[in-house]
Amino acid sequence: MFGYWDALYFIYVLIIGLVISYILMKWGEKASMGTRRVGDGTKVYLSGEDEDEVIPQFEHLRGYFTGRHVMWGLIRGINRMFITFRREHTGLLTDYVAYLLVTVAIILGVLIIWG
Amino acid sequence: MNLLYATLGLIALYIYVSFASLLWEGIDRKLVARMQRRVGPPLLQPFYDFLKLMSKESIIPKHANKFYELAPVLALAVSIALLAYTPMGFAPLFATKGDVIVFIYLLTLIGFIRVLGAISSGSPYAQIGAQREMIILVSREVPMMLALFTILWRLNNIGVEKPFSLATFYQRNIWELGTPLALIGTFILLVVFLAWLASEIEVGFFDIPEAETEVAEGPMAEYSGRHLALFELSNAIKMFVSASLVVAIFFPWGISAYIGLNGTLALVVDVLFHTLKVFAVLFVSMSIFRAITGRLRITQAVQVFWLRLFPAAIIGSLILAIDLLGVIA
Repeated sequence: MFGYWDALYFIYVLIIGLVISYILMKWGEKASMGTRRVGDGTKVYLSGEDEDEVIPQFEHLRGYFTGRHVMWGLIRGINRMFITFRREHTGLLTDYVAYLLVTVAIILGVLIIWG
Repeated sequence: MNLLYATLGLIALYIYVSFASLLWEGIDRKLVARMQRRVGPPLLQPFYDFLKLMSKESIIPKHANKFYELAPVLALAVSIALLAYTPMGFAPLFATKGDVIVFIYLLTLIGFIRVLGAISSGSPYAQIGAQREMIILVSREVPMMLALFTILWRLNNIGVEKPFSLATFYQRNIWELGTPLALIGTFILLVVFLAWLASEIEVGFFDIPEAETEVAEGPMAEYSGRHLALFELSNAIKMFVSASLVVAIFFPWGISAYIGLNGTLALVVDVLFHTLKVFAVLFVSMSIFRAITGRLRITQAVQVFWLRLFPAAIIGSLILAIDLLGVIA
């Protein structure tokens, strides 16, 4: 899809973006009241939650804190996605697979007949 | 030399879009407040917010990792890069053969970086918000991409040079087809796009990830100070850019040709006119939508995407395909 130069241009543009936002961040660091890193023995979250406690109405989330485990958080997110898919319709993930298959079939049909 | 002009153009565009998008947020808040019989904040409130956030102390939670601090910078960098591929009343500055794909990819990447930053904060609220954001992310792109590629495919058939380029919309546009079937199909796809736009900027029905009253700003729960400011700015730019896509597809007309301008002045006039159109689209898809709808549950939102918008996109695409085949003439 891309020519060689287009990819290089993209990297160039991204670097410009990085430089601008880095400058903005540095300016913020200088102009602001600084950074406070919350250490041991303090309340951790702005939301006021202690990480060891259970959050009201989200009790089922106990034990799923991610912190440093970003990968686990992502996997959990994808898992939640499938859970939502499964729960939300009358039941089955197969419905969605069926939608996809039907769409592909229609497109293939159009291509075969017309192309 | 061309590269130099394009670079300068990109920086100018970044400054302009930052101002325009923050201004629109102010206008939007004022308009919605009026619709709800409130006075509303001053017009320049988003600017005050941004400057204040920049000057406040940034608090980093204990369990946050390195990516937590990196994510706002990356999000803003990606939004700026996105501006290079956005049609702004003229072809994108760094237009390529396949910039539609880069465009969608970058737009999704911003959401993904938000998710990563939220998960890195280690807060359970942010975690919930991030999960919702991911669910919406994978649901909303499908109908939008189907609609977008159908339109590009249809335009390809009436003859354009680069069918996967956003510049295409300024050569031919979808309303040119003119047949009744094509008009109906295009109108359905327009509705799909407006709903997608609302979910992209997370208002009204789709205010689920950030649901302030429920999960305390969701993904942004732990962000504060300049980190939050950068995220807000990148969100505002993303809002403008997503609306620009809708404008470019459905309302690409410029006015500079009609009043006989050329050169830089024409570009400036086109950008200003484009901004007006973006504001008009955002007024429908953001202000009105946000004023008259409430937040859905995440399962309902998924249902809207997969059982309403996706079939609508398929039907719109089929109507355009039938129009091309000439079965019903």
